[in-house]
Amino acid sequence: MGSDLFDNGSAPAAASGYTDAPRRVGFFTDTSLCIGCKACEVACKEWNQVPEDGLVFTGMSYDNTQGLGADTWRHVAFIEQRKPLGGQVGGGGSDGAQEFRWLMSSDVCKHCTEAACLDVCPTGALFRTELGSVVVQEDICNGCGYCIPACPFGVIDQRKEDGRAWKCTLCYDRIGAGGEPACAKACPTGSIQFGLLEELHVHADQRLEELQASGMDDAQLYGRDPGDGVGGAGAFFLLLDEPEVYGLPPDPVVTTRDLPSMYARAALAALALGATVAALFSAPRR
Amino acid sequence: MSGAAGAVEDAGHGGRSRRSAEPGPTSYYHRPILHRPTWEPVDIAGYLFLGGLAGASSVVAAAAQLTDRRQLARGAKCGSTAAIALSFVALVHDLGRPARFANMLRVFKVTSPMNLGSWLLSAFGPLSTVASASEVTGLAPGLGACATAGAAVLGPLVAAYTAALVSDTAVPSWHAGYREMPLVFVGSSAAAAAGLGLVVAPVAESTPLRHLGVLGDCGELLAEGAMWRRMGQAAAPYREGTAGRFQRAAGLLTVVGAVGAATVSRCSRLAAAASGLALLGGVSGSYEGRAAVNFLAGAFHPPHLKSRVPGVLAGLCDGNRSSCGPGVYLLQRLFHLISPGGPLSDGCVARAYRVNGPGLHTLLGGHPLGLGSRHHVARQDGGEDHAQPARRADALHLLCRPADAQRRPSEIVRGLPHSANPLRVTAGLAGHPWPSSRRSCRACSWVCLRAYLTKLRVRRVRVSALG
Repeated sequence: MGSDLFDNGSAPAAASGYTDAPRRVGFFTDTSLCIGCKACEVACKEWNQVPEDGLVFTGMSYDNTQGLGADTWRHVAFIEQRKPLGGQVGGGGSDGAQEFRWLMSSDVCKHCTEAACLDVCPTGALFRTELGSVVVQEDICNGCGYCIPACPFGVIDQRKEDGRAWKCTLCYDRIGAGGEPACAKACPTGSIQFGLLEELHVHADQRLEELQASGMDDAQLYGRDPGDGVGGAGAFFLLLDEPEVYGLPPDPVVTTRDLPSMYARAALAALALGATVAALFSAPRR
Repeated sequence: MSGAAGAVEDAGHGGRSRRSAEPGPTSYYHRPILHRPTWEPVDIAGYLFLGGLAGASSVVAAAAQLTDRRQLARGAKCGSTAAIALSFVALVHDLGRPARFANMLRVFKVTSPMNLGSWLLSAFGPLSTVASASEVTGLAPGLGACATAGAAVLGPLVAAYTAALVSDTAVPSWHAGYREMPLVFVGSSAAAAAGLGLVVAPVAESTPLRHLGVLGDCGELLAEGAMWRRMGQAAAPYREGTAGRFQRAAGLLTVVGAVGAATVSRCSRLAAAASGLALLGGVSGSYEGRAAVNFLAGAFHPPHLKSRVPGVLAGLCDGNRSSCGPGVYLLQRLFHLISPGGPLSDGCVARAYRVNGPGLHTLLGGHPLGLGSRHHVARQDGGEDHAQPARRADALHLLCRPADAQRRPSEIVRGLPHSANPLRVTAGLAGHPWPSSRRSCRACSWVCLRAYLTKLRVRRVRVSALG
């Protein structure tokens, strides 16, 4: 009866108490279309006024932002592999020396159906919007940092100079004014698609079939399955290789699933402590 | 064109040579997936130690008082209060925004162990303080006894909840031990309290403490062994590097303390104190070790855990969907009326997110599953509170006095000057006006409390103005 406390079902906004919530929106990032232009990173920074995140040269292909964090809400990954792309025929020798593919993927907060960051936030600074996304309220966050180890994707992080936690808001402000998120608006190839999540699911399934039919056997959807460890993601991906290759956890699970058990065990341990002390002190003195 | 191709080739070789040692799916340039926790080792590990010490000491204090062990009771009470006061300092110091520490209490949220812990500490701290103040000054012994009893009830929870706090994360080495970690924490807090008791109490009063120290140590070591066996690969960081050294030193001190407590401590006060210090050192060392695992040298997420090890990367959840029991459900029903009120008027959110369009719904109060959020959906365009009347009504009958229930908070607080709200500044909410609390919830006891405090404050101001 109380299971809804730890289970959002398929409609997180409704489970959060919105009675007439609009349909859930989200991102579908089709990495097969990504050309690594980083327009999404720039647009996100510009619109959300995200500070500079370190001007370094990493040598990690064309990736100098390295990963999502407090000051990187969109991150384009670049992976170089000695594999052919789909049914592509490599030139040159039989040892595959000429085979090469360059995978690019724009990563973002997953806006999980069951979001660990939001579950553990002690102040209520993280909240579920009526659109199903997960947003930090910067005027509430007191920088306790609990959300950071709770996120199984390593998305949310603390801004050092500021003390608070920051992450993608799914451009809550733009959507409210009838727009679409800045990254999706700026994406020149349609790799980042924004829309109603149900429609994106249908479209993604079709796209996956197309790609597999064209010989990309490793293509897979990530975050599409509502039965996964986080109840499905509000931002899901079409990947051309295993999730680990892109720096994504292969099987993320929201940590609060085990919380009832943790509480029960903590209560039992507390009882044991009280009982032990009582027994020891009530023993007759010698 | 050729330049670009050359760059690709170079980068490709670099990336390939780094990855070539690993077959199959690999990581993204060996970067850990999780972010490193931002908690400071001294603050949080110190809190784990001090909180456990305070919690178990309060139980020892109550038991000592009941069995007429005066010096032990006094020492345990004072030790508990000192430890919990230091804990508070450490916890606030660790916040990114220390001035906003009171935001911890703006919602009641069972899905957040840190939130429950804040409520727990905010009850335990004053009780412990009253108990020790009464003990030291001799004033109000009845009140002191009540406070001692209250602190003894909450103390074990203070010692145990931190296990849920630490394991309710995605860090594999933290989460994977959630079954045994409460026992480890409780055992070590019992040993710490026994150690403190041995230091402060005369030999004549310390018999139960010696047993408690040995039992606590045995419980801790056994539970820890079971925890590590279950964790498998995820336990490796506890044995390596700095964390491993802390753990070994702690283990040695623990054994020394336990043996000393069991043998020589009954002979002389000095030996007892030494054993007690060894117990305390062992416990604090193991807490430090536990924390050092995660904070030092990035060991919390070693590279070999990044590959697809079933369960490990994902936090070793077994995937079964647990549901909470009736107790939690009752708590939810009881407390979902506690709302944040002030800071999140929809106007503030609109400002914060630069949204002015009609039709925006704003969730007041934080947690989606949470308590306090469910009935606080306000609609910006209509300016009306769309709180759900049924839920509000049942909450109303549970917590509010009938007289308050009939009054809107707006009636209570309207007309009072903003500066008269004593909680506004302490809660880090300066700059946020009242209107949301005037408007949003008639049933909210939080608002009622604030209104009451405001009234007190205003009355005092008026009196002083007259005077």
